[in-house]
Amino acid sequence: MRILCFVKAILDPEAPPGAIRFPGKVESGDVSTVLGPFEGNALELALQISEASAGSFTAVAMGDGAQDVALRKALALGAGRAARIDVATGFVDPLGAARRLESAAKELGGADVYIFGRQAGDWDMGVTAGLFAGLLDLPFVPLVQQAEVAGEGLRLRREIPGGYEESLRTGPIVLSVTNGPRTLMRLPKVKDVMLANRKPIDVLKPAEVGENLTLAEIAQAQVTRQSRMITGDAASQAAQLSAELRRFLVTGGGN
Amino acid sequence: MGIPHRVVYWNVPDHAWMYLPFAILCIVFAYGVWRRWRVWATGRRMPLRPWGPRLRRLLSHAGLQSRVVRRPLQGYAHLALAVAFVLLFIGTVVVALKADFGLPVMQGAFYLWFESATLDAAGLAGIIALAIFLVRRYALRPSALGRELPDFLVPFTLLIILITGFLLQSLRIYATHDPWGAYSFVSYGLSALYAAWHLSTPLALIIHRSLWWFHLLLAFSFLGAIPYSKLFHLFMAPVAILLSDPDGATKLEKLDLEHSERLGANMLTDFTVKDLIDLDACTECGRCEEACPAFASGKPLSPKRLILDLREHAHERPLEPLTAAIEDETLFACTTCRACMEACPVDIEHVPKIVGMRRFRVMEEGEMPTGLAEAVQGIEERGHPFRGAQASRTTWMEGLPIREWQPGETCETLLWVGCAGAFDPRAQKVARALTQLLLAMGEDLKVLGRRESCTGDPARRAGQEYLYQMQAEENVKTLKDVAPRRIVTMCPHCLHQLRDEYRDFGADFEVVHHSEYLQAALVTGRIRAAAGGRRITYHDPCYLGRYEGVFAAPREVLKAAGGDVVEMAHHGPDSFCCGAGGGWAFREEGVPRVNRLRAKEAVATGAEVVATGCPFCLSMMTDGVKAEGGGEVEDIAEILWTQVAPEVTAQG
Ligand code: SF4
Ligand code: SF4
Repeated sequence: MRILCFVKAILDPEAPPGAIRFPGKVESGDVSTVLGPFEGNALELALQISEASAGSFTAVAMGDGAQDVALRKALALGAGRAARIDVATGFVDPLGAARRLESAAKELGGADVYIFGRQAGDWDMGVTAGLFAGLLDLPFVPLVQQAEVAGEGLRLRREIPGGYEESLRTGPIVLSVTNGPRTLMRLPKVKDVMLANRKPIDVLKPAEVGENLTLAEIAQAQVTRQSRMITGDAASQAAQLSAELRRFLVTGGGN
Repeated sequence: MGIPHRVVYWNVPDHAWMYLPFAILCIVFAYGVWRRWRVWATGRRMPLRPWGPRLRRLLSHAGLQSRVVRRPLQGYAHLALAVAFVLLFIGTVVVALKADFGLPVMQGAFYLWFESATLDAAGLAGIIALAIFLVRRYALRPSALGRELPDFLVPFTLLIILITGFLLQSLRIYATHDPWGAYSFVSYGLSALYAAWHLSTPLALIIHRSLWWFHLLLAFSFLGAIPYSKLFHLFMAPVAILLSDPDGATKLEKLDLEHSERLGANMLTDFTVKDLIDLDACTECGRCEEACPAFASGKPLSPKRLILDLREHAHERPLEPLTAAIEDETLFACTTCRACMEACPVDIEHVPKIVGMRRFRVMEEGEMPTGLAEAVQGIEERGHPFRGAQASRTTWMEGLPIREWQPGETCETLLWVGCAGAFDPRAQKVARALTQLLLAMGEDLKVLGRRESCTGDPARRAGQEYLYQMQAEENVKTLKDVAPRRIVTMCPHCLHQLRDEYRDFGADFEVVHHSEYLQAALVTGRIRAAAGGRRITYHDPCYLGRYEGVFAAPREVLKAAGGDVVEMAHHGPDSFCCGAGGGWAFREEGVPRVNRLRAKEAVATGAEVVATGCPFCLSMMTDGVKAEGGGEVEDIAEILWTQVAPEVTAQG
């Protein structure tokens, strides 16, 4: 099976509060760029399917050189090829993104299975995969947690309340992957990491797509935090706590 | 009476037949040695120079058995047995020189005082030592000692050999009315018994002659069994000691990532010659196991078992991968505390083998326990192992008059805070106390702030050598740019990296642990502490004590802070790990936890405060001591600052 797995590197979601600032644009300071968490799940599934079908997969990212972190990880995990659609990092219009990915997919010769992470860990929209499927006129299974190669096709499992559901597909398909016990990304082997650092990353020219949405404003939420330790014995702590809570309900937290 | 002497091979006219079993013995022995040699020869060669420290260690650990005698009863018994057998061996050589080469060595004063008196004393000492061993193993039954058939046969056979030796000699003295018999005082005493029993001379001759052959064949069988049993340590222990790293193998070997056929150890050939000789040098004494925190807390690791499993693998399946011999959980259970290596009387090096095998599992197979894997990933992605940290590298120093170093500036004293000091809320307090102390000393102090990155120590101990080397190279580069006069650190793991292991990456800095720096400042009067009076016990961090050899400085600091320092059952080089090392600080541990075991010891001292000098120990001991109902756990810097702060204020 030919597989395309879309990956994205994002600003460290574990960066301490306030380290990333939004004064009209995103300022990342010293925060590092890491592979998005759901892209790790997507890579794991891509790897499992390619192993089970004795094939290989291509990893595709969109953005500037900072995206290479994600592509190198994909190469270390066993991607046969890595390509980056060279666009400036910034606000992402999901439809525009899906169009660019569609054109890149064509340029790369298409695939049987297109795999996305459930949502990019930074903007958290989670719609690009669906839009992409629509553009290609392909069926779309979201939030997959397990995939098995069944003959020529794929058996895809996703969780539903109180159980699971499995769908079967022979022929091209788009899926998005979420975290689950079977999609936990494995550790790449160090030999492969070292080799991956020497492999080429193809740079693709982005397709010309019109703007559908533009960024009007981006700003930081104002968070005020007040805390104080309540001390004393248990009874006095309880009394102080209830007094605090009452005051909070009355004043809404202000002084 | 003439010159004192005795007739060699008296009463054994057919003694020449002994060369037949002797020839068999030589062949069996040589084959046994060759079988083992075959394995050692496949090991990697290691550098041996300089020889000086190695020879000194050989004299101390093998000659004087300085580690063996740390356990006085069995230790001195072992030393006595070893000396006895060396003497008896010399005595036998003398007999051979006389009998086979006709040299006149068995006569005169030498015969009386050495061949007779000294050897009798040696034989007696040997019997007493063996009796102690047997009583200890079978009556006291310590769990670290095995009780399989060979464990019994070895001391028992030796005992029989010594006893029959005395019987032979006494029968000869009795039957020949040896005029110099009294010099062999033990045998002489026995011969007096025969006289009392009126043993007939013809019977004595028959018994002597049969016993002579029995004694000889038993001794030959025993010698022949040496290369096939744990007795081989007689020969291999001195070699293992001689080949052991003069610095105690505290520094892990820098792995050549580009050119190694395999990353880490998974075949015997990945081990060094020393590693392979270690397997044959193990005496199965169990001291490593007794010292091991992983074993004590029920984890699937015993350093002794590990060595014996590798030994069995080396002899039975030498061409198979080590994954067949040692489980992943066994390897990852180790805290790398080095207690086993400190305890081992024959300088077997467990930790380099364990980390070597971890390297393979991690780098070639992608195996790593959860928790540890996440911490290592944290180092890779954000330069520190503390997942979910709410702080940045400089949060801890808010409000303190201290600055980050800027390019182009000089740097007198660099405070290397370490990831714990920056990201762990408890350790942040230590960093603040230490900074205040250093500022009170008038120190020109800077920190690296966002330029500081994890030394990579947790990754290296976990076996992720690749990530470690990237961290090391990056940090050494930064430090060379900064070029500080000295580096002070509050983390023993950082200390071990910056001071020792980074040397393999071109580092050559003056690095001190804060305990050493504070102690020096107290001695020279740069800081003064008000009198305190708390009862304090000090927990030696493994990486400060056993790795870096710093035992006195922290205790001196505590005393200067007015502390009444009391010691735990395990302290100094014999300290017991808190359970954090080897990546365990980031893992979920089962029950019982190592820190609880250590905290019990701390609480048992009745101390009000448990002091330590490592942020990881601090966190482990805080949890443990709380659970055991003990008092406060503080870093030495905090304890000292409590006593120094009033002085600073007083001076205004
Ligand atoms: S280093 Fe410590 S934990 Fe590891 S085997 Fe030795 S004693 Fe046990
Ligand atoms: S490794 Fe050393 S301490 Fe452990 S059983 Fe063998 S000889 Fe004794």
